[in-house]
Amino acid sequence: MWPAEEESEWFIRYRDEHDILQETSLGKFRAQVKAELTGFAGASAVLSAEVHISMKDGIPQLRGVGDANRTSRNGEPASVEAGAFAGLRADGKLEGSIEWQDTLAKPVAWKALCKLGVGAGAALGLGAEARMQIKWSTRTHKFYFNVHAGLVVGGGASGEFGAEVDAGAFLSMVKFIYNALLTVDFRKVEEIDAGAFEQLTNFALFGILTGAGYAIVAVRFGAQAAESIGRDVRLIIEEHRTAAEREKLAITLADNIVADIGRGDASWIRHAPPEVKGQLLDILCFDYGPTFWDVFTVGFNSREQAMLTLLEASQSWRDYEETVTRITPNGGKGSFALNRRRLRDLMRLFPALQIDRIERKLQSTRAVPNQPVQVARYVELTGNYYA
Amino acid sequence: MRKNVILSVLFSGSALLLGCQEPQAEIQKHSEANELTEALSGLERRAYENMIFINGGTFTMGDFGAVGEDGVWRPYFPPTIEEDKPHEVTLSDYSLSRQKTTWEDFDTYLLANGLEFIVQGLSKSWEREPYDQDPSSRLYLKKPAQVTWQEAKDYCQWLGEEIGLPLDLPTSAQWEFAGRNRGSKEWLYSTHDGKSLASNRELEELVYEGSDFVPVGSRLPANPLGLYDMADNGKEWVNDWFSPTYYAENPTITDPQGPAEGNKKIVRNLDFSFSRVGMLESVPSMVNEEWDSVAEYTFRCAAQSDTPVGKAPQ
Repeated sequence: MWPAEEESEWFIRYRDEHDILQETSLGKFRAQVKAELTGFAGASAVLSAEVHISMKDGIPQLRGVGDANRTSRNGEPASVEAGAFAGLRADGKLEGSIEWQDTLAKPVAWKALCKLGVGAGAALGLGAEARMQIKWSTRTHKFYFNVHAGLVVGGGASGEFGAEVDAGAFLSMVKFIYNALLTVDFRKVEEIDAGAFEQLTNFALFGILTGAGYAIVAVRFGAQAAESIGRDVRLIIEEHRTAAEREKLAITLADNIVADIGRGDASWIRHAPPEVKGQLLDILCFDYGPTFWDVFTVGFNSREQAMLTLLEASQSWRDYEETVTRITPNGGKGSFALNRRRLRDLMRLFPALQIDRIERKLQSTRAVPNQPVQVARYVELTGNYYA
Repeated sequence: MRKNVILSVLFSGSALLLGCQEPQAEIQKHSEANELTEALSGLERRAYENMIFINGGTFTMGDFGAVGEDGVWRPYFPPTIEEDKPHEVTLSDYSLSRQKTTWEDFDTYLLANGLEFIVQGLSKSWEREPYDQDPSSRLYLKKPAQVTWQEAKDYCQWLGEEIGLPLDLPTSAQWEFAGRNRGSKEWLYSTHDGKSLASNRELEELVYEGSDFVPVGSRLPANPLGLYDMADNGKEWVNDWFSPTYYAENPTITDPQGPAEGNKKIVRNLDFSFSRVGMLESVPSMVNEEWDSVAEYTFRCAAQSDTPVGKAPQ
């Protein structure tokens, strides 16, 4: 068992609105790894190796360092290092876990994010720089951390070895991703594969639409049903065909949203990207009109509450702007101005004024050239009307 | 007398109305029949035009990975190497449709066979109108039809009978051979250039910022064989049953048809890769386990013949 460097910081890279590569920290991470070799001639050499996780140019690297007597431990990839791990290919097996520490969370603690060692036969010649990428596997219907070496031709599907995210780690992973995405354009995080992001969005939509918690989702993890979850979510919306049914769906959803935000740290909404919040707002807005019992709601009915809850869950101006822009049936980009007006037109005066309050609060998180942006890492719902 | 007059007027009136209705119904029926004939002839013409003849050959099928810049071979991840063991496959010549089957053509098939237009939801099903004209609808007539494996198979075989060609779903090997640009080892992804979409940011954004389904052939360029949507626009059914050990059991094989039986059918076009997965006809939905989630994917037909399809007969 080799604990890796415990102070390794995990950075992700993303492209900002000007298409310039930026990076942001996810906190610290480490790997606990042991190698098990059977029937491989170079076993002793590999068993004496160490796995190091270090940073270079903002990219986490898993690096195999050869025999302790070998000198190349200066951070430069060396052929001898690659050779040590190449030995794992034949019959070797890597076991262990990747642990992650959100340095802003309290109390600070290491959490096992995912296990290493799935598919012994596929664990391979790691040695040079490697990058971690989160992927969704259509084959196994699970999320993976894919350790991806730059040496492989092209990007994407090919990888070195992987870490399967088990059901218990699902919650951690959702939060982890959300924290990673606070200030960036969510689809442009290079460490999150587009397919994985889409699937994550589907899970969050499913959770909120059906009122299902993480545990229910985790139970079905790996089943074929997980593969069709995006389609099933779409069908459940399509099944509400008449205006009355759509209205009923909107009211049920509003109740679910209010209940969800009350779950505190286990809330889907608190960790949902704008693609999710935008689609939910689109459902809430459908065919909306004040109903007769609104006179008893003293300013807020459940849909108005739910809409404001979703908006207030924005962690930054960018998050808010992206959410409002994506108020469309599929979470794609629409018009911020038109959608904002749509929200205001649907609400009565007092709740509509709350939008101004939310926007004022988020102004300080708007990106201004040459000024640091303050980002609220955790959502605080300031109104007394929700949750 | 007055009563008789009234009756007589009523009778003549109804006869007049009936007389008017009958020709109108006839006209409508006639016009529908004409429309169907026109739609059928359009479908048959397209079926011919879309068929691309592919010279067979021998290639390495499976998840064979890639050789990196360091000259080291590595397989893909997640670990598929055991199930997708590289093996040698020889294929006879065949033809494959350049486009996936659209809702327009599938609706013509339903109409021609008097089949119902049903959308299968989770808790209920409902009727839909044929030839959906709404571009934002997933049932839009130019978008690829998403149907069950059996529906896809029935469609291809019916169309084959209509136009006198041995049409069927392609085998998994035929799909992969075509997706790899005639089995090229350089073709690591089923895209137009064999490269990951990540290497082309514009196309990547186009795919991931857009809808799941778009009109066929409208988003990514065709591959060198002229085939569209081999890497986009929905996963695809192929003809074979799925078996995780089939590749390993057949290290060298000619014109593989897949296992003789099974309970899952193979779906291709997974994440732009050459992996495959077996899908059950339906599974309990995650939304509610008492509801069935029916597996519906896109498809295209293949002509199982070693002679080129040629032009549509006039």
